[in-house]
Amino acid sequence: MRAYLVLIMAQIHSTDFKPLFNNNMKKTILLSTLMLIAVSYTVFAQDDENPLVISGSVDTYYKYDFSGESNSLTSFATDQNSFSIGMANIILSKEVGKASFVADVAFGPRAEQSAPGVIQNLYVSYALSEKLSVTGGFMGTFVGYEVISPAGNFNYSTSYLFSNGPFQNGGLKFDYAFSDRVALMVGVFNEFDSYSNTSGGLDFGTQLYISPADGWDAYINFVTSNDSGTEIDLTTTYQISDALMLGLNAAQRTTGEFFDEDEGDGSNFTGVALYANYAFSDSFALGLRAETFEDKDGGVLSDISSRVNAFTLSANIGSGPLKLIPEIRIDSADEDLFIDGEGDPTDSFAQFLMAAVFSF
Amino acid sequence: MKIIKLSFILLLPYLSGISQANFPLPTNESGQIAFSNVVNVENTSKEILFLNTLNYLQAVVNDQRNLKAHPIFNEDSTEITLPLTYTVYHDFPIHSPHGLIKYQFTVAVKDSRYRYVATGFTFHYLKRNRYGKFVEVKGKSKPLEEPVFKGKQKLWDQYKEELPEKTDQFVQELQAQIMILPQVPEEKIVKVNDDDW
Repeated sequence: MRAYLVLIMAQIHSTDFKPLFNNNMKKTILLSTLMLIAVSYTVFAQDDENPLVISGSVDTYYKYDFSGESNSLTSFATDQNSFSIGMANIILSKEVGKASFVADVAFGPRAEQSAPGVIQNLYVSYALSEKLSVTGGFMGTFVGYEVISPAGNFNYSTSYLFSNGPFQNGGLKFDYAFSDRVALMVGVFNEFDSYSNTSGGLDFGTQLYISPADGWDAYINFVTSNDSGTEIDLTTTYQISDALMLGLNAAQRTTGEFFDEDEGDGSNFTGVALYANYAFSDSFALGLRAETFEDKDGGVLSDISSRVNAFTLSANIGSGPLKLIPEIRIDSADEDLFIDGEGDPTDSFAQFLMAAVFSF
Repeated sequence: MKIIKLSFILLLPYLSGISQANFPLPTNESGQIAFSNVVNVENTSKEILFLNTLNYLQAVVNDQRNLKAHPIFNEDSTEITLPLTYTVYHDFPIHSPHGLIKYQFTVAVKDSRYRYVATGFTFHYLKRNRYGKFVEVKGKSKPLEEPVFKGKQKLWDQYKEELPEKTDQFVQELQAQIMILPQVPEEKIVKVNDDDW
C-alpha cells in the first residue's frame, strides 16, 4: 500500500505528468497522499519499538478588525471579516539508534507565508556521543519565543518580534549538553528562510541554554548574517506554579550590508514582549502578551522610524486535541501605521479573533 | 425485549471497560503503586546476583539512548536502582506519542535470592518543539495513582492496565540474565618433561 502510494507520488512529479497537474493540484494530491501514508503507517506502527512518529495540526480562524480594514503588520491571520484557514501540518519523525530524522511539511496560507515551499523542517540528526549531537538540514529557527505552528503558541496572532525575525535556518549545527541545566549550540547556516544559500556567505549562529532553577529556562541566541544583519535574542520562561507561567522575549537586530539606511531599508529593530499565562483548569487558561517594538530607522514597519505597543489577551479552551483560541488585540503606535474605518491613516487598531487548532 | 437485549449487548464492552479500569493495582504502605517479589536463585552468591543485575541494567541503558540515566548502587553493593522510562501513545486521531511513563526499578540481593521493586510510576507530558521533535514538558507530571485524567480517561485506564505487563516483561528479562553463572576457565595442566624437551 505504501509502496503504491509512493509510486503514485513519483509519477505525479515526473516529467511526463507535469503538464497535467498544476501546483495547487499537486499540493492537494501530495497532502492527500501523505495523509494516506500516515494512516497506513498507523496500522503497523504499534509493533515497532521505535515507530515512525506522525503528528501535526490543522487550524482555522475568523478575525474582525473593528475599523473594518485589515490592519496587520505581523505574520499570518491577516484576513479581515473572513472565515479563513491557517495551515495543515504533517510531521514525520523517527529515531533508530543514534540517528533520527524529521520531515515537516505544511500547506495553506500560514505555511506559504512562513517558508519558501512546503517544507518547514527537514533534517537528519546523529548523536555523536551522550552529550554531543550534530544536525544538518533545514530547521525551524532557534531564535525567538514564538513558533510558526499555532499548536506551539499560546496566542494565535504573532508578535512583531516573531514576524521580523528569522523563521528557519538551514545549515549544520552541533549541540552539546554540559548537563541538564546547561547546553550550547553552534552552527553555520544559509541566509534566513532559504532552502539553499544564494548569497554566497554563510551565517553563524549560537545558542546558550541555561536553567538557573527548576521551572526556569533561558535561551540566549545570537545569529549574524551578511544579508539579514545581526540579531541578539533572549527568550526565557518561568513556570512559577502549576497554573502560572511567565515569559520574556527581548531582541535587537542591526542592519546587514545589503541594506541602505539612507533609503530607509534598514532592518534595525529592538523589542521586548512579556507573556503571562494562567491555567484556571485543565481546559481553560488565559494569556496576556504585552509587547513594545521599535523600528529604529524605518524599513521594518514602514519607511519611517516608529514604535508600536501591542496588547493581546487570549484564552485557550479545551483539554483534548482541539483548542479554541478567542483573542482580543489592541495595537497602538506613535505614527499612523494603520488604517481607520474611513480609510485614513491612524495610529491604532483593535481586533477580535477566534481560532480553532486541532493537534494530533 | 429485543431492544433491551441489543442495548445490553452494545453496552457490554463499555461495562467491561469500566470493570477493567477499576481493577486494583498492588500498592505499598505509602499507597504508591508497587510491583514487588522475592525470587529464589539457588546456590548463587549475592556478589554474582549483584554483578549480573548491574550488567543487565547497564545493557538496558546502552540500548535505550533516551534513558539518560545510569544504575545507582549502595555502598554495600547489595542494592541497585535504575530509573526507567517508556513512551505511551494515543491512537486517536492518530498513533502518536502522548507521554512518558517513568518509574524506579530497584533490585536488592542476598545470597540465593533477590527482591525487585518497581514503583514511583509517573506520567510525564510530551510536546512538540519548534524542530518537530517530541520533548518532555518540564515540571508537568501526574502520578499514576491519580484516578482521573480529564479528557483522556480511557487512555489513563489503559496505561494502568499495561503496568503489570510492562514490568513483568522487564522482570522476566532480568530473571534470565541474573541467573547466568560466571564461566570459570578450565585449568590447563602443563606437563613438564625434564628429560625430553
